[in-house]
Amino acid sequence: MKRLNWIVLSLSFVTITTLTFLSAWKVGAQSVRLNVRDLSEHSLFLVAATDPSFDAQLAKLGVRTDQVLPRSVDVTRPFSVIIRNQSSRDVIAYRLRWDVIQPDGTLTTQLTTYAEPDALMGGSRSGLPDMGAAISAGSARYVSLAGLESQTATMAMGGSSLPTSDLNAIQEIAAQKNQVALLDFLRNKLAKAQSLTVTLDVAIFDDGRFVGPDSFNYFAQMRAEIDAKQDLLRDALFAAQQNKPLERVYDSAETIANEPEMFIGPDSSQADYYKFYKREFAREFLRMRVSSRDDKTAVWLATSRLYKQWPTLRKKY
Amino acid sequence: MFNKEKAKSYLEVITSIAVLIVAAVVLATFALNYYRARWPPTQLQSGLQKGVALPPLQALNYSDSPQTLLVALNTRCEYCTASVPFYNQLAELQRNNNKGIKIIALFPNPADEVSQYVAQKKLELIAIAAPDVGGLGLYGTPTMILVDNQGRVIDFWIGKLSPNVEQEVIGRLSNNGPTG
Repeated sequence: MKRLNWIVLSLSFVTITTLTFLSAWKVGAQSVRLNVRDLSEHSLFLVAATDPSFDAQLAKLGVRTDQVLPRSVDVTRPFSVIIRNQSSRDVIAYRLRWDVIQPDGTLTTQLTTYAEPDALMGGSRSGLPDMGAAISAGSARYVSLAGLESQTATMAMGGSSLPTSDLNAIQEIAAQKNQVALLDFLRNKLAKAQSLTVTLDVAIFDDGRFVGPDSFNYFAQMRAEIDAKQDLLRDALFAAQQNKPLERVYDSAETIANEPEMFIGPDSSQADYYKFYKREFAREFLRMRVSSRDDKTAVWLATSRLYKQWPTLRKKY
Repeated sequence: MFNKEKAKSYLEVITSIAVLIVAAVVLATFALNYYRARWPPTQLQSGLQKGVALPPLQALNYSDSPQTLLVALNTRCEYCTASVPFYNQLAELQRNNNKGIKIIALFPNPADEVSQYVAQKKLELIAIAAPDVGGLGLYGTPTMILVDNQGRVIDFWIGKLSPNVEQEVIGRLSNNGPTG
């Protein structure tokens, strides 16, 4: 028995000594340079984690980053930013571009888009200032790639440039709400990164003004979305005004809605986006029919937004 | 009747189990700490930011021109070489559409190496050997920084640019593109 005790004690000693050595052998802190490209010329500012006022501004917004992802504040900080809208107009859509640059010069790009396009299509924005994606004039919003909960009310459309293997990786993980996988992904990216650039790539004001470098042609996508909805509704309204049978209007919508599934991405053309959105809106139009008491009411409800003002989407040069 | 030998044996077993449990707890603690330390902590440093003034460079006077496009390159950087056709496009744009923007290629390399590189790669931009270019806070090449006459950053672009972004830069320089 004494011999067994000695073996146990010796093994424990060796294990503890080895682990003490391993845990003391820590890698030095990884230094990452954070570049910030905002749209200050349009009174839209980005406050990144390197800004001395970042924490104070977060507190002012009532954001507690440790609640977004527990135990990971230092990991999520580089991928978090505050957008300050100091213009006189509300921002109804914006796109952030995150470029992680590795020491060998390779670039991994992640796009995150937050939009309330309905505001440009005769619809109304979410009435509550803190809901939806919009940033009211004179207010600010905290946005984080890791903020799974904070993005549930927004529309996130991803895209990427190089390399394609990282295409939408973060958003895929975010969609699965797998916090551990997301944490590891961000840690892995940062551990190797040399610099990180956050760019406010696009911003759309509620008067239709479109500003920003728009490196992935979001303008064409938004234009296609608006045109698709407008065309669909105009066709329906025209038929109703001509006293044509509404059955035909719905048959036509059904044909569009039943078109084959298609996938859109950063490389899709404006025509692709137009087709995609027209199909989506046709489905929405048909759903409204189901929930209305008769076809006439349904068509009226759907097309009534055509009588409202649609701000003209235009690039600000 | 109290059996001294049996009690001693029980005590030894209990001691062994206790040592094993302690060892397991210590092992788990160290394993957890080791896993946490596997990823180094990130130390964020401020990089380029629009509106922030760059430090002065010996070889350059920002006030010479209303705007200056600094193109930071390195003779050993393959993405710089791959971007030479685009830089030559910018040089041509500057020649044909002079909006008062000066375009300068800056190298941290020795002057003779820079001359050799410019000749070999047929780079048409004005190239300067600027050993103090690192002071601009750049991390990696190629990097392009558009500055005003006080050295304040108007905009910047890092890495080899995609065709879309190249068009954006051309738009900025020809004053026909988006301002933002």
